[in-house]
Amino acid sequence: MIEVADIRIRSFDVDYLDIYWDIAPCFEDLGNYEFIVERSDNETGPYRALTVPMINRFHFRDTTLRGRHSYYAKIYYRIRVQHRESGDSSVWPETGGVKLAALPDLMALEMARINNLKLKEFMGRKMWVYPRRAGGQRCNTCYDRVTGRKVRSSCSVCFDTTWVGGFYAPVESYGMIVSPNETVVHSGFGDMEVENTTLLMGNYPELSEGDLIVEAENIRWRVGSTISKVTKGRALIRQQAPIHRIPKGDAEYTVPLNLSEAEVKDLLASPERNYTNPHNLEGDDIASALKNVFGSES
Amino acid sequence: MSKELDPNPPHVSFELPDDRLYIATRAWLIWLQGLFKTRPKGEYRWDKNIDETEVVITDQLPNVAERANKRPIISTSRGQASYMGTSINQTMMPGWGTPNATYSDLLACSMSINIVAREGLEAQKLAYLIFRMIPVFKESILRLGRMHAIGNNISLTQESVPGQIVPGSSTPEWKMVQLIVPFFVQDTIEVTERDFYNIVQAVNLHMGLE
Repeated sequence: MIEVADIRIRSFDVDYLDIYWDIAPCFEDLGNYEFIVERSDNETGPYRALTVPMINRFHFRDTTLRGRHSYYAKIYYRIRVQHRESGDSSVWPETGGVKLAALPDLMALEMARINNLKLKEFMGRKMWVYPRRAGGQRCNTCYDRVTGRKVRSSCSVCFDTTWVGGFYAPVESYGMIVSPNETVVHSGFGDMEVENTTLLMGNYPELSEGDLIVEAENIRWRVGSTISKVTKGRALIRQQAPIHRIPKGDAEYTVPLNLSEAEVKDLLASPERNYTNPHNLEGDDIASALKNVFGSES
Repeated sequence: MSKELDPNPPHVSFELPDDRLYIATRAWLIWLQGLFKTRPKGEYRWDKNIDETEVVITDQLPNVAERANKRPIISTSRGQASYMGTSINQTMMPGWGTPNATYSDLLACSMSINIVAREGLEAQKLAYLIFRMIPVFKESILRLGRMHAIGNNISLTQESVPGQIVPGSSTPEWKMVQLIVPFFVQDTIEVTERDFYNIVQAVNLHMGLE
């Protein structure tokens, strides 16, 4: 199987994007392979084919973007390679996709790595980010296409996003949520508990307004509308976003988090060593702690 | 004039008149609760159990702090009440030469019915339902609330703007539509009411008047 390398997205026109790719040096006959360009609004998919199978072509111009002028909407591409006889296929990049964005330089990569390490191992906690859908099939249950508005809430089809499914598959990540003030607003129609705070996160996944954040304690947050993204040479290093705690009766609380029973039972949001005194050899599970620090033998 | 001879001191026997505005507020709420109690399950059905209800219906500033964040909410809020001044001195004399006066006037007031929901159209839908049902149940509301009339110029406001009610959310998740309903109460005090002269005299004496 051949390998696709160096996928680039380029364009100086708002109505299309050019996708270029190369093939890693190989001895195989490239005429035996077909290339299919796939696209998604979410890095981890789902991707759908944008082209028919192409042979000996290493460039495609996506002209279906006319009218999509959002600054923040992301469009990801990947290349599916398919052997014409056997039907074997593989996708490139193997995980995620490529978008029109600056390539991080070495310094940016190191800055992002150190920040991610800091969040994962010291100050952050495990959480799940559900990217909000911003395209696909509109919800027929609660969305009125004439007014372009939702007509009711608590929709189990779109989780109140107006797009069927509501959110893409969750991405496990590490971030730090600044402890919010517990605020009770005594309004004319009753009391409301309001929590607004800030989320600090690394460079992955890239946050968008409306994304759902789920903490290990099932506290759920919605990403606010002003996200601070720190970049180096236009490459993302870290993110800081305002988040708003979602009322428990809202549809977002019915979005499932599919962890196995064992994963739920043994869930630790921070590294286990953070709960174990490394100087205390009488710890009840020192082997586990050491494994956590140095990694498993395998 | 036998009432004037009542041996009990006025502060014991005199009963304050009913708070007609409170009675009217309760009538509006009882009607709203009844209206939503009859709705099918899943269609904003009201239940007196706050944990089971699909819509919260209360007066303003309810004491339900432990049940915060539940929507939709329908809450009533009484507006300003004022005498309409339907007569010169708000007094009616049933006949010449009789001391049995009747003090009466119309009170003009309004009831704001605030509908709060996650979606603006959802709030509007509930508001419009109430709006349409008021003429149907007008007589019942008048009877229960001992009201004189419900005005025809009921108004339905526009939706609140995003972030007006709860700041911080990326999507406007608390939207409010208001229904403002004018109503009138005729409140009457007759001199033949029990302890009337006692209390009038006591107050006048306190003021140093004969």
